[in-house]
Amino acid sequence: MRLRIDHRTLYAYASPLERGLQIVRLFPKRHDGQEIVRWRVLGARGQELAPFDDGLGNEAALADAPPGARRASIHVDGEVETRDLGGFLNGAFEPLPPAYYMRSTDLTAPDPTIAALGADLRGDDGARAIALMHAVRDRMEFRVGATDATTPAVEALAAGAGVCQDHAHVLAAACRAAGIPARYVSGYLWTGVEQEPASHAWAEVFIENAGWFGLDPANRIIVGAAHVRMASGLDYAQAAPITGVRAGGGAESLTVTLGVHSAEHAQQ
Amino acid sequence: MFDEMYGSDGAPRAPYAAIAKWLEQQPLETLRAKSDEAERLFRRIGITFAVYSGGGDTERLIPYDLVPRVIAKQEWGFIERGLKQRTRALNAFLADIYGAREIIRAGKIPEALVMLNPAFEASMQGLAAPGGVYTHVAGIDLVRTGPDDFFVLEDNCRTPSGVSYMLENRAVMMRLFPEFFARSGVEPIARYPEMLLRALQSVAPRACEGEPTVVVLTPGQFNSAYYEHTFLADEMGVELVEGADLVVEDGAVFKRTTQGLQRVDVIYRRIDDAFLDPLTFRRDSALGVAGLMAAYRKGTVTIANAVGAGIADDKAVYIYVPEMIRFYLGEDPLLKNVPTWQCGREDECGYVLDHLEELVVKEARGSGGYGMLVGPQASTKERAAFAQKIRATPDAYIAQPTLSLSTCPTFVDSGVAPRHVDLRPFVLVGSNGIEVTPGGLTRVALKEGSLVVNSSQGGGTKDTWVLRG
Repeated sequence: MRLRIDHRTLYAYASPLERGLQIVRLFPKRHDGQEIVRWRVLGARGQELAPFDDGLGNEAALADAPPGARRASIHVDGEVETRDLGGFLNGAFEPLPPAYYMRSTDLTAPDPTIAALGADLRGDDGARAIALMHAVRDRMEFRVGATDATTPAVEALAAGAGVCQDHAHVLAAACRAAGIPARYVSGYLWTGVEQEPASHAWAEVFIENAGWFGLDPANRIIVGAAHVRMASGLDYAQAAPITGVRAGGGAESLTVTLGVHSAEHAQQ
Repeated sequence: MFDEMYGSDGAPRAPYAAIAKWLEQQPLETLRAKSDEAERLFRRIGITFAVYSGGGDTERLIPYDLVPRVIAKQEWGFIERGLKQRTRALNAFLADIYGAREIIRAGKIPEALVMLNPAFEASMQGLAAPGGVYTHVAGIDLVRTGPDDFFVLEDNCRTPSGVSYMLENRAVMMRLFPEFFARSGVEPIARYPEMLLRALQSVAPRACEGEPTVVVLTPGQFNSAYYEHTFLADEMGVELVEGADLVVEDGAVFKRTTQGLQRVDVIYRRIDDAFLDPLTFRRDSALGVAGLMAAYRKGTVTIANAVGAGIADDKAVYIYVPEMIRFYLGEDPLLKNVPTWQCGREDECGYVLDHLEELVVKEARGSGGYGMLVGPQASTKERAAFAQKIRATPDAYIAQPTLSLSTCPTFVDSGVAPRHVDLRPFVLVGSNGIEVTPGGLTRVALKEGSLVVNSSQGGGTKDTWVLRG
């Protein structure tokens, strides 16, 4: 599937910035289910951002806002060709072994409730992970505003609601508690309908002798050609599309416009 | 029990012959007066350190003991070879762990011990540190139990401190007893700052042209080792900076100056990994430099010691250092490890709990002598309380036999008496090789019979003499 992405994030500041610096993880990497046709990410001055390898297998770039600026922006403009490989991630650059993805983090630390999700499940790791995806989604309705980017998995599960990020965190935590290495993935999803202005997140689990396998708990689906994979890590903090620090600027207002279009369907 | 001056038979050992004679000639009042003078000198220098917990006066002088600790030339030759060997292996391990992980593939060290270790930093993966150096300054803590028995107690590969005490102790010694020092034939140590600067310059990024700009990065004046940070910056003739003095622009690190931004090539950082870069590590850190890890990965700056170097000095990883020496160097280890039990392993935990009265139990991730149990010196009640802690989180503890640390003559209230000592030599690694300053920092447990030499636990320090002949 040929997917075109046009993603603009605009920041406006109430007063001039003293300094602003962001890490941008909006560079898809090639794997057997994803070829990069063209891709560029532009910073506030229209400059093309040059990515570096972040150690976890992702490409990231620094974007600095010039001192005195009242606005900043990140503009992603690209096209990828995706293929449905039944959820399996093949041919990806994997600098770290699956064992690393058994670590827990502040955002994915389990509690007894999370550990209990997988405690009685039987079957192989793949079957248990799929069952966990449903278990997580059964217990958490999709609701914007119930959580924010810093909500840990335990709190989101206790709240019984969240967005794709929370579903992915809880699923990763539950899989690790069940002995299955798991990670958080950020990216885009083509839905074929008018897009919500947000990126997407899902999880990948490691199945012995088969490899990494993508599960999208927010949508209860196995990852396929509609998913554009950007970055992965133990949690959102390691795979966030954009994180930044700034000095000055006062109140910030954020505008995001995102289009994920299928070139074949010519949908706008 | 081995006394470094009197051996086991009471006759002064050769390296101490001059000291023994000198001590006999010094009236107690002279020693007392010199000791007071030493304290005044240290106060004037302002060399203090902060002690955590306990309340009260947190800025303290580390007590300085007048009586030097002596190491014979031959003994030092052996120690130095052992230190260089061990440090080479630790660096090879770090390069491997953040590279191909051959040692794990070969089954020589458990994968989970490394991958689940808090000291393992994924953001270092695949980063080939300039010169292949990851721990540029290593503090390898040694203890001695007999004439030829040296053990490594622990490795310090992150930001080992104490070198300023080593240097100041020598300066004070030379001031108090200039003639005695001059005729004793002691290896000089004053070149340490120059050696450190050379090692740091040798690992400048490839992109660096001309003389590399080195800075010392400190968390600030509230850090317990702040004195040392200012001291080293002064002695090396480089700038002491805090995170706010540095900025990342166009993927490189710059120092703010009144003349604008100046490029920085090598950062000798004395800030823990977690606080180095709020964009990669703790977001609430105000001590670090945003974007520093990105610059490091792009190869525009060198961080010393490397981020993630702590995986090599983890107390559970320590157990595998002799294996590292065999694996990477194909050599037999010269310096011995202390046998260590991991409470996280069920079979070993049972042994530890059954033998608490013989063992020293330490926190696997702790440092500074906080939270440890010296079994033979603890009360039954203290041991029982500690056993509870071990049972609650066994992974957090390791145990070792209580070594009978050597003693050295030490000037205490009652006169000169034997006290237990250890040694922290400082090993410098550059792309041009490994150097060890003769001697190191001798720490002494001032309390009679005590085996805990940490300054935070009432330990003092001594000047350490390596004899030339």
